[in-house]
Amino acid sequence: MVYGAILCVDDENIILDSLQEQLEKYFGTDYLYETAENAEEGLEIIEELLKDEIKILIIVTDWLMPGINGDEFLIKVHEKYPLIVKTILTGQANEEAINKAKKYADLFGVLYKPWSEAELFNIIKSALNKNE
Amino acid sequence: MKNLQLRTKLIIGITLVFAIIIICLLIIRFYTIINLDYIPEEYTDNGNIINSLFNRQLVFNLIVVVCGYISAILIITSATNPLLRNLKKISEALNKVLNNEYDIKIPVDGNSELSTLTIGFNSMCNKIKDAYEDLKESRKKYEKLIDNLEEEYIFYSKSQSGKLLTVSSSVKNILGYDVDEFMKLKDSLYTNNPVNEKAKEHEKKSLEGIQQPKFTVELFSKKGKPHTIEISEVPIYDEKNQLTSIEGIAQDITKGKIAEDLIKEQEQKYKLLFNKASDFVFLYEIDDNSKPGKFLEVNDYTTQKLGYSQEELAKMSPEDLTAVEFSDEDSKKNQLTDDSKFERIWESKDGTLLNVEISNHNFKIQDRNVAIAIARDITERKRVEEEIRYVNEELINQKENLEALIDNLTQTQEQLVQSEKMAALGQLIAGVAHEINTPLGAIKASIGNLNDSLDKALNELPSLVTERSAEELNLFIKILELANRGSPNISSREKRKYRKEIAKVLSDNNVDSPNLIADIFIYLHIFEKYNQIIDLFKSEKSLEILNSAKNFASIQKNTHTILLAVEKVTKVVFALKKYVHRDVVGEKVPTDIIDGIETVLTLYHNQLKQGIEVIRNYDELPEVNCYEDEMNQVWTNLIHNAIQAMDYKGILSISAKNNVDSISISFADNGSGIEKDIQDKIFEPFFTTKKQGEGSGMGLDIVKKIIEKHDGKIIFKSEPGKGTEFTINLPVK
Repeated sequence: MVYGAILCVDDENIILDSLQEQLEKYFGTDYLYETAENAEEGLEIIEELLKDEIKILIIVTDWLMPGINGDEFLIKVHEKYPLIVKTILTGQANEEAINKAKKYADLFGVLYKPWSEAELFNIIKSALNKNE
Repeated sequence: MKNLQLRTKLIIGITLVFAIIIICLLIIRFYTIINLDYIPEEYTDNGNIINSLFNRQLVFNLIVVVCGYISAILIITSATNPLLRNLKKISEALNKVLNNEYDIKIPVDGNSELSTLTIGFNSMCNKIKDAYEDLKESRKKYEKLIDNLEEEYIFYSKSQSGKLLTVSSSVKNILGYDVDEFMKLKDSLYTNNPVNEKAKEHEKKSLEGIQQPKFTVELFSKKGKPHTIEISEVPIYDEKNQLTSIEGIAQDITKGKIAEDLIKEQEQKYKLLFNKASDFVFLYEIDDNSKPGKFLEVNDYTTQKLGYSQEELAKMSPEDLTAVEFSDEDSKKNQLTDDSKFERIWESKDGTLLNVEISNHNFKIQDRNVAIAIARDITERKRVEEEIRYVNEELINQKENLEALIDNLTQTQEQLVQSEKMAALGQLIAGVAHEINTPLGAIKASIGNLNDSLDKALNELPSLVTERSAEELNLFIKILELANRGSPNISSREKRKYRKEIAKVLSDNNVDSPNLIADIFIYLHIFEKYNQIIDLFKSEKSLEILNSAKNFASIQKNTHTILLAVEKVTKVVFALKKYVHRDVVGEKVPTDIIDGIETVLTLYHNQLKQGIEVIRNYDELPEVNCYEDEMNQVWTNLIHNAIQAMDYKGILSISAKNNVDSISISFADNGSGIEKDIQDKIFEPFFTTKKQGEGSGMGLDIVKKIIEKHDGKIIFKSEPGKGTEFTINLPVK
């Protein structure tokens, strides 16, 4: 039985693949790891998981993506699912977007690419703790 | 009688003498006869007494006397003849002399006394001639003198009563009156000039016999003009010391008077000029050492302005006025004794400092070296000059400031151009950072994953080899064979689809943990071919085998991810390198235009990917000679503008056309377009519609300049709400 899902959103597959592998490595099979290449897909996955009654614990999203940007995505998610812990993993820090996400999406944390494993685990761990 | 000639007189005398002798003879005869009582017959010849008188004796006597007379006459005549001749000559000569003819030489005859007389006469004539010449000479002189005198002088005499006795005719020349006229009118000719009052007193005293000094009267001439006449009168006394008359000489000094008046007037004028001049005017002596000496004369201005009196200045030299602190320096430069113009700082008595400009001129007055100088107070001028200088300096400063400002502005402009480039680059870099950071993140994560997987794989390897059954090993090898064979570009959505499918199949086949196995299948990129191994997942150890294979496959997968990431980084770095590439200064190089556009597109990838579809429509283009980095700036600008105009969502159509002798590149967006009223402003520098901080407004100005520098053209079509298309035309050389 999984505790819930961790959703990663990034337009780069190499990020999604490596990120997912890292998360699996640390958090094992207790969680479900979902990946989406853009915000729309992310929203789709959320809906699907909810249908399957799988709770989404954490979203890790890139900021600069085709279509909807990370901050807007998180704001949309937040409107419906305020309890999901939201983090951004980005290669380009856009202060305005970060602040917007903090204000309107209760952004939990920001990770900058290239990130270290330790940073990632700490933030996910504390996010999971928050969720519990 | 008187007028009779000498000879005639002699002849008359002798004739008289002989006549008397004859008469005496006759008387004597007569008395003899009378006294004779007897008259001899002979005497009474014929009885007549007379006959008796003239008897023979008497006749004889008479003949003798007559002969004597004749001979006397003859002698006289012959004796006086040469004398008379000479006398006649002399007399003629005398006549000539009397007629002022002195050039006479009487010929001398013989050595008689007359000759001596003639010689004497001749020499006398010579002397008289000389004297006469002299006289004539001096008379001429005197006549001239008198003539001249009469031009200016009137000679007159007055009686004791003051009545004019004589007046020289020169009065006509001088005053225009005839003598008589003048004598009549004289008393009425006096003008009203007060000088006449005094003159009348003098005249009165003169009449009393008292010698007067010269005095002047003013009289009207006949023409009615006043003439100034200078009078000298002398009283004349006779032997008895009685005043007989007053002799006077009157001289018309009107001309002289006028000249004198003129001089006086001139002097007054110069004096006035001297004193009223609003400059220091002064005369000073120059001593034997050619140094300026004491003031000789100063004008009123000098005394007033300097506060020193005439007397004080008379003891000072112009150099004493020079303010002490400036004296040394100044006097070395300019000597007050030079004919020159120079400046000094003077100190007045009360200590006021004055700037003066002195021009002086040296000259001699009665063997004394003096100089006259005019010094002008230029304190005010200096002040004004100083002010002007100050204002000038200020202006120069301001000008410099302005120039500096302009420099600054130019620099700022250059900086703006540069900053525009940098801003564009900055935005690119920000995007590029993401572009690089993303693969770097992947690499970093992958390396960690790779490391862990390798560790695990190495740990598992011995047991795998020794403990696994052939069946299990077969599965292991089969899994590894299928792993990483699936399409790498499969979307996550498809992956999810496969996962669900696989999990369902596994579940349908009663395999434990179907979701976990499905996840690993997806991880291993085993999508369609899961069927080939799904039957093998019957054993309990299958999941262990799958996990072991996953560790080995992870090595491969992460390596692949790293490779992909490195490719991405390489691409971006290469584009960046190309973009920032600097041309060899000032040289155009053959450039692949499309390559340049693609480089910029690469760098803008992460901005474009957000929602912009780039449609490329490229002809094959020849290389164009250009400044590569400048052209990159053009593409950057146009692409960036298009992205912003479309707000990161839309279609960017880039087309490149080959027109053989030129190429046309156009960038068409379907963004907001440009409002009609600002369409003609978009190429102006500093014109921007972007928010502050987003653009300097230099972008299109720079683009235009760069294109013009390449002899190209840039035009645009824009429709608000529909989009804009910029077209660049570049010649191919």
